[in-house]
Amino acid sequence: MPVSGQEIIRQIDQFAATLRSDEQQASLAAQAISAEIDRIVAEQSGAFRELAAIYLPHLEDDVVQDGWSEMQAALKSIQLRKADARQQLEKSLRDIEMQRQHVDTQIQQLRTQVNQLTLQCDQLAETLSSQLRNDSRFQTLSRQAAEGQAKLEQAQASLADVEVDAKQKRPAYEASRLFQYLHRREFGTDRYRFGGLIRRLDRWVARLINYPVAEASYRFLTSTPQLMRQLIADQQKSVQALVAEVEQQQRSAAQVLGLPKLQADGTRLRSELDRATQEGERIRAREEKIRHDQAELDSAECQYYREALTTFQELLKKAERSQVVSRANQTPGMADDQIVARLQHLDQEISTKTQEINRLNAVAKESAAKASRIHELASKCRRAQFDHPRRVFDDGLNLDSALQNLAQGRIDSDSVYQDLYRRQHLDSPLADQAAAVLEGPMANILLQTMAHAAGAALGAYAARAGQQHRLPKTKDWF
Amino acid sequence: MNESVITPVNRATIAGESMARDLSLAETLRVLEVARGIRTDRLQAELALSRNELRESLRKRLLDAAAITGDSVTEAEVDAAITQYFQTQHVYADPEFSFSILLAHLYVRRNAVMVLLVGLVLLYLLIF
Repeated sequence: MPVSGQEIIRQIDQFAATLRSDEQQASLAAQAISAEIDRIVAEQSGAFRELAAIYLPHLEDDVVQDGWSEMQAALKSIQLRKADARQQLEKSLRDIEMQRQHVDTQIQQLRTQVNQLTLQCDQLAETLSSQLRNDSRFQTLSRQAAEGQAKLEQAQASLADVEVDAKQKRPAYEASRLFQYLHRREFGTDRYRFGGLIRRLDRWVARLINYPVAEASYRFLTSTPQLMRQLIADQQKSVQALVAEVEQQQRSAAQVLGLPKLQADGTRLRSELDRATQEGERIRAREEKIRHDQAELDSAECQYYREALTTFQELLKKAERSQVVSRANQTPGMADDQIVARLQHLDQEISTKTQEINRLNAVAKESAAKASRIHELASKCRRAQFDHPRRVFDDGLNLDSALQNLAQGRIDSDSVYQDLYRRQHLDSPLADQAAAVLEGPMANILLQTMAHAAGAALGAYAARAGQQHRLPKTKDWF
Repeated sequence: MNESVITPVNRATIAGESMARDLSLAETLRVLEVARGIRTDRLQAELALSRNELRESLRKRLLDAAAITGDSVTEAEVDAAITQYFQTQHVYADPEFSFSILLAHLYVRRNAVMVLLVGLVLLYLLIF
């Protein structure tokens, strides 16, 4: 049964997709194995570090004894740098201790002076207090100020009450049309300007709502809080004046006793003491840091030891595996032999995995090449419009086998294309030549005639020759 | 020599005396009324400021009066009464509704009522 051109293209695409899938699977598998190799390399690096730590348990260890004389020069350099760092830290510590002692002495002196001044001030304050207690004017002023303050506080409390009252009670006045009517006209004052009947009627309304009493209350609620605030402000001023007078009297008495000068001296000393205390804290923090650095330098995990281990680790990595094995065999301990055995096992694993990666990469590359050949064929077929709806192929076509051969490289894409080209024709009474599809039914008439004229043996050539003339392109009847 | 020197204070005093001589009786009365109002307001404010003292004074008087009349009132009851007194002070409410109040409302809104009536009359004339 003839096969449509679209089906042919679909089969080619499907074959190419299968090859692409093979390529992707191989690539993914290679990536996974690569990650596994990275893990093994990391493990190997750890093993090298363990081995380095065995040969160099501390920075001062003799690595030559274990057969690693290559490490001696680097180790010596690191040891010298460590000794230099230790000397520098010791010098810094001596300097900082001297500074601390100096600041501590300064702080002690300042504290003594401040304490002495405080004692003097206390004594003078006692004298001042005694003098003021016996001063009748001071007593009177103090009492007046206290009474004024008490009144002031009472007045402030009363103001708060009146303000709350006003806030609660004023809305009733402001909502009453009758009250507001009379209030707007300023009824009952000399500013009321109406007479005659209106005045009489207004009086009648005022009597109805008892306006004079209501107006007095409203006036109280609106104006009294403000007046109260003014009175409170006056009261505050008078209390402030009294307090200022009391303070002035105290200041004068203190001046006579020399208290302000002592206070000024005390303030100056206090600020000096604060500065010295801060400096002392800063010096202590630095001293602490130096001692910490010293302790770290003496510890087994100091930065110089870590550096030496890393250098040794790199040396071991670069060394020939056979050399590492032979030197491990020379040492009496078993720990290094075990690690070397592990390293050998890891080497083997890496080798195996690398081979597997190479194989998978080759598979991926081959699949890509196959897919590329199939794609090339598909492109040719598309350019030749094999997927035209009216294009059909002979049922004798074995496309699978042809694609397999093309993928394996046994034949090239041109051969498969030519084979397909020969087996295709248009599903039309007139259009059974390949060119008919390409050039249209009018071309087909010409090509058929040419083929007929050329005879059975040369018919196909005649058709192709006609195709090369590039007749006007009308791919279908319409 | 010194008496002839006119200071700002003297000048203000002289001007005040001159103005007082020029005031009519009605104007004088008005000024006095304003002064009285200010004084009353200030007195009221001072009284309000000493509300606690006023409360204490009231409390003492009420308790004394109760003792004289033989009423058995407790201090708590007196305190409650004083609190209520302050709460009800200066409270305003329109009188209860009555025909007089209705008329008063119509009167104070006479302009609006007149406009409404005129409008209704015009509407009536337009329609009929």
